[in-house]
Amino acid sequence: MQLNNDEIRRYSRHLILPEVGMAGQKKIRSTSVLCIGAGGLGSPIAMYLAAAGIGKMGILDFDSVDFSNLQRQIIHGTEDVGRPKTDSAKETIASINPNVEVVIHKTRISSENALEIIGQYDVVVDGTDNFPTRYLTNDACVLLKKPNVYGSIFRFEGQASVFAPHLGGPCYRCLYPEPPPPGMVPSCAEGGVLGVLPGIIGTIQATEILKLAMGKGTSLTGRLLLFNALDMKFRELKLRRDPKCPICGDNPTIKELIDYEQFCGIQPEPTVPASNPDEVSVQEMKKALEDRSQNIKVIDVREPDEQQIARVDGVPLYPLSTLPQRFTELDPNQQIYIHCKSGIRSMKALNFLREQGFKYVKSVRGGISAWSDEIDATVPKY
Amino acid sequence: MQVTVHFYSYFKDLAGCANTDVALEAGCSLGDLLGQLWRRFPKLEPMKNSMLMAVGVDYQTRDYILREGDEVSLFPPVQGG
Repeated sequence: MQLNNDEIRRYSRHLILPEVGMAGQKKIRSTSVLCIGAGGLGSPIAMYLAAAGIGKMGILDFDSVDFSNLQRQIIHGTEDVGRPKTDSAKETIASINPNVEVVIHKTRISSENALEIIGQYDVVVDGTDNFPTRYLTNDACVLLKKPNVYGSIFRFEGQASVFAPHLGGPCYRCLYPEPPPPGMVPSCAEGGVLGVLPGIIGTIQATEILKLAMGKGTSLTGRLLLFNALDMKFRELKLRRDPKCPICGDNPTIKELIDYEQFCGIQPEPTVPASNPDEVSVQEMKKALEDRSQNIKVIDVREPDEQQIARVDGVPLYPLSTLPQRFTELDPNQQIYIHCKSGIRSMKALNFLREQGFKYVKSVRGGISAWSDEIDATVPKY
Repeated sequence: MQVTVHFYSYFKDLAGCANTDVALEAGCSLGDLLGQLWRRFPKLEPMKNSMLMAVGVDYQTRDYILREGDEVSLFPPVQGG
């Protein structure tokens, strides 16, 4: 189908590029893309692909917009906080380019629905924020022979590639055959991320999608692009398909989707939070701080920068990273309540102190976030 | 022979440095080098099956035979999006 006059005006800067032209623009318009995750990477990907005139844009996300997303997830605005990300993303795309067909999938991608959803699209773009979904996306794309345009970010560094074993390149599993042990790898929520970083990596992914759609240029297939924003350096690694890869190798052992939470060692969340004898509530922490006769010491194991953001008065800082040197300052026979941001690092600190012979240590469930929710709303959440 | 190992992203935190020089006997493989690294940097060992290894600009596997002056890079998986 021909481009109409409005489309010709809208895409004129593409049309005059010999590498794009009318033929390329039509190919872009006839391409459908599934964007898994409408977050940091998904924002620029969906916005630039919409502006470029992609035919159909699937947006998959189950989450709602949070204030802490706005620093990098530019498809959502301040007034969208609390709304489903899919709805907010759909509106932004429509305002950029109403010609784009937007399909929203307000769901968590799973082994049950992945093949059915991905099967509806030509290209998949991975903008997820966790390992189980990355392995699931990879495996589903390999099984369906769909290119998987990959990107991931952390702090100041990002990486991007195009996984397409059916086009001769490697897949995600060729690079990282096994997921890291659970808890070893910090998420952006734990480790932070420079807001502009997903903008850089996401626009690289969007570029690769447009090239795939047009069949032009040299794709990132078989190459991993690594970016460091602090050094402002790009590096490139040449990759190879692993003939022993369990899904895209010569004798694949994975022929259907598996349980990815289990594969990544993640325990299913209990529907009712089990009471853990190693944990105390923020109410108990408050009591310990107020009633000194209990002789309970409360400590904060977050890092100094975090204490600058939010703190509970009267709680000394023993950063987890310094605990191996500083635990001797604490009394192994005293009751100690440990808090962090959310209750994960305090549990690590608890296990460490137990190994050192501390008898009465407890971790504060939910950390300072729970303190902000349940005790003192003037303590900011971050 | 001597090779240089570069750590990327949070591997720098786990190793406590951005790079290190390692002396090896001639004929050692990338796998042999890794074995030495786990002894020097035990916090890296839990990640041993989930890291990307490169020599120069090429992805390599453990059976790659190292040469004098090789630049080895270790990249961790990152999940953020």
